[in-house]
Parts: sequence; C-alpha cells; structure tokens
Amino acid sequence: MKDKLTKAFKNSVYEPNQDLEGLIWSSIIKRDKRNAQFKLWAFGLVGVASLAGLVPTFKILFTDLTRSGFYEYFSLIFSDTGSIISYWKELAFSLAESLPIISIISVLSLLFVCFLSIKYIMKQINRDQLISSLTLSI
Amino acid sequence: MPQESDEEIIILYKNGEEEAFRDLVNRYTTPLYNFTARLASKNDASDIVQETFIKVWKNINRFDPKKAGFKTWIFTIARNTTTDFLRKKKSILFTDLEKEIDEDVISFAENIPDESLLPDATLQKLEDSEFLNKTLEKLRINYREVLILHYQEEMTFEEIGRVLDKPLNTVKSQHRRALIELRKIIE
Amino acid sequence: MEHDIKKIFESKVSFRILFGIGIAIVALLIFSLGVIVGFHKASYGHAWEENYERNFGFMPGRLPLDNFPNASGAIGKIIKITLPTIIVEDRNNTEKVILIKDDTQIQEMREQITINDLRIDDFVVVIGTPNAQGQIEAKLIRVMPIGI
Repeated sequence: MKDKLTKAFKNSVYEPNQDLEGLIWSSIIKRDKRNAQFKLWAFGLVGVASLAGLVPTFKILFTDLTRSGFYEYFSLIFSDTGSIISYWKELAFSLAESLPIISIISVLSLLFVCFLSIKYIMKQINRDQLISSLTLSI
Repeated sequence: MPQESDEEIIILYKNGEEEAFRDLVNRYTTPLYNFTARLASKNDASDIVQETFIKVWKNINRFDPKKAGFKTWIFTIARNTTTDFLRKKKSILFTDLEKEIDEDVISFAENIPDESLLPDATLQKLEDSEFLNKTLEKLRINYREVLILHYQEEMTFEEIGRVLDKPLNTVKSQHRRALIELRKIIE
Repeated sequence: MEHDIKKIFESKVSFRILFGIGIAIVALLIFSLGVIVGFHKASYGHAWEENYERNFGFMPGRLPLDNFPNASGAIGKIIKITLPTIIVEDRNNTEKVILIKDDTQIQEMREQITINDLRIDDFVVVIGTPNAQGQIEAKLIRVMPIGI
C-alpha cells in the first residue's frame, strides 16, 4: 500500500510558477544587499564618531600624563639605570599611581571601537561587492 | 556526479559561497510549494514559500544538523509560516480540527492494520492525480499534512513528529485516522 | 569511555570554559593589582591627613584633597627645607614632606649632589616609600631643569 500511495502522491505534485525560484533568490539578494548597506553606514558612522572622539581624548590623555607626573617618573628609568634597579619597586608604584587610568581606558575604548568599525566596514564592502556580482548573475 | 547533501551546501554557504544557498532554493521550492499549497492555497503558497526561504536564510546559522536534518528543519519553518499566515487571514486553525474525533470511524477500523486500510480498488482510484488532489482537499488539514509529509516527502514518522511538534504516537495515530478518513471520503 | 573523555576535552564547551577561567584569572590579577596600589595610596593619604598639623605646623579649615595623593613619589617645587626633611608642592598643589635619609640618592641631571645643594624653588622628582607619619622616605631625588 505504501509504495502505491507514495507513487500516487508523487504524481500529484503541485508545480509552482517557473519564475518562483528566481523570485525567491532575488528577494534574498535584495535583503542581503540592504542589510550590507545598512551595516556599512552604521559602522561607518560609528567609525567616524570614534575617530573624531579620539582627537580630544588623546589630547586629554597627554595632558593627564603630563599633569600626573608620569613622564617625569618614566624619565628616571633613563637617567641612572643602576640606581633605578635598586628602587624598582618604588618606581613601579610611582608609575602605577601616576597612570591616568580613565584617560587611557577612554583612548583604548575608542581605538577598539574604531578598529572594530574599520574591520566591519571592510567586511561589508566585500559583501556588497559579492552581492552585486550575484545580482548581475540573476 | 552525486548531488551535494543539504548539510554540505550549508557548509559551503557558511564558508562564503553565497551561490550555494541558491541550490537549496532550487531544491526545495517545489516540495515546499506543494506542501504549503495543500495547507493554504495555490494563490498564497508562493508568498508563504518566499517567506519561508527568507526565514531559513536569516536563521541559517542556528541550524544544527545534530538536532535534525535540514529537510525536517525547513518543513518545520514552512509549516509554522503557513500556520501564522492562516491565522492572520483568520482561516481554520489546526488546533480546532484536532478536537473533532469521529468515534465511529475509529472503531470501524480498529482491527485493520495500517498497511491494509486502503484496499486496492481505492488505491487504484487515487492513481488519478486530479482525483487524489480533490480528495485531499476534502481531508482535514492536520491529516492532509501527515499524508503529504509521509507519502510525498517520504519522511519518517519521527521526522514528521519534529515538523509538527507532536509525539511519535500522535503522528502514527493521526496517520491512521487520515487513511481511515481518506477511505471514508472515497467510499 | 576514553574516546568520550577525549571528545569532552576537545569540544567547544571545554574551550569556552577554559577561556572563561583564563579571563577570570587575568581579571582577578588586575583587580588585585588595583587593590594593592589603591591601598598603598589610601594608607599614605590617611597618614598624610592625620599628620598634617605635625608636618606642616598648622591645620587648615579643609584639607586640600579631592583624591588620594600618590604615595610613592612627588614631583614639584621645593617650598621649604627643614633638614632632614624638605616640603615639595606636588603638581596638584598637595604639599608632601620628603624625608631624606642616609641612603637617599640626590642627583642633578646625572651628577650626584648633596643634601645641602638643594635650594627652595628647585624642581624635583622624588621616588620613595610612604611611612606612618605621612611622609615619603626618599630613595631618589632628582633635580630637574625648570619647565619639564
């Protein structure tokens, strides 16, 4: 019974329009392209914003490094290396205490966001090119 | 040259071969169209199939071959998409139909094994595709889908259970009732 | 059984667990470092406040501290010399008492100088260890040209 029924069902398949497959594929391509372009713009904006933010943040970092005395403590390393080795612990504490942590975190965070954005922008550009080539082949 | 399996195509797609997904579209458009056309209508089937493929494409990274085969997965999405579509159109709900059980029909066929539920004469009538299609239209939706998946798509009852999100025994009994009702309609 | 154990250890889950543990270790190490430096600063800050009148001879209405001062050094101008201590006005206008001991090295650029060569308004960089009296026991004092 099963074989006969299977044969009967297989002979009664509803066939779709010939262009349905093409229609489905082109709608997927369209969505993919739209997604890629949206992501490109989004990452582009984020990247530009983070890049713009880096300028004042770097300025603040340099100011903070100067104000905190980090440069002066750091310069001691090059002044008399022999005696510095004896007081490495105190020097290490001085350097650690004078680190402008917040400024450093701000700069690193923005750099991170900036590099991540650039990475994703390149990815989206490649994707966009690939989708364009697929669109031509439809 | 042997055809690539669904899972192989997906791996190719995930590795950057965008065109590979097109093979899946070509492979499953007709089966999905046929399935959804029988649950909804031919007019709506194209839209439902399109939506199904878009969902599959969006969620392809969630597909886990260890949990179920791709065919089972795509038919599950198609079935759910059809249900949502029909619900939006305020058409018949699958759950409403399941409440109706024809006790007389069940008791009549109680002792007949599944394999013998449809006599040869009935099977011969069903060989006429137009007749089969018209008969299927008269069948309840939940019976229809079991028969389509089992005989047209050659899925096992376990796979059908996953598609319909029903236990194996429920699928088996639904299959049995489907054949009984089919016979009742023909006779 | 052996194969199963191998499978577990090679799985993604075990890698994620290891990675998570690694991150936790690094985070805790960095946190510990922060606590050590913070404690160091806080101890000195507390001692500095407690001994303010004793060190500077008067008690202001409100102590000029919006943050704990650096405990292991001072950078600024010498504003008072009362050997064996000197008072340095730090960058954020905090006055620090520097205790010069026998083993303190005093340099002007690369040349060794003596305690008597220190003058008021000399710009110095000091590294040392804080003591319980709110002073910094200098290990190295370097006189720098003004403007640095």
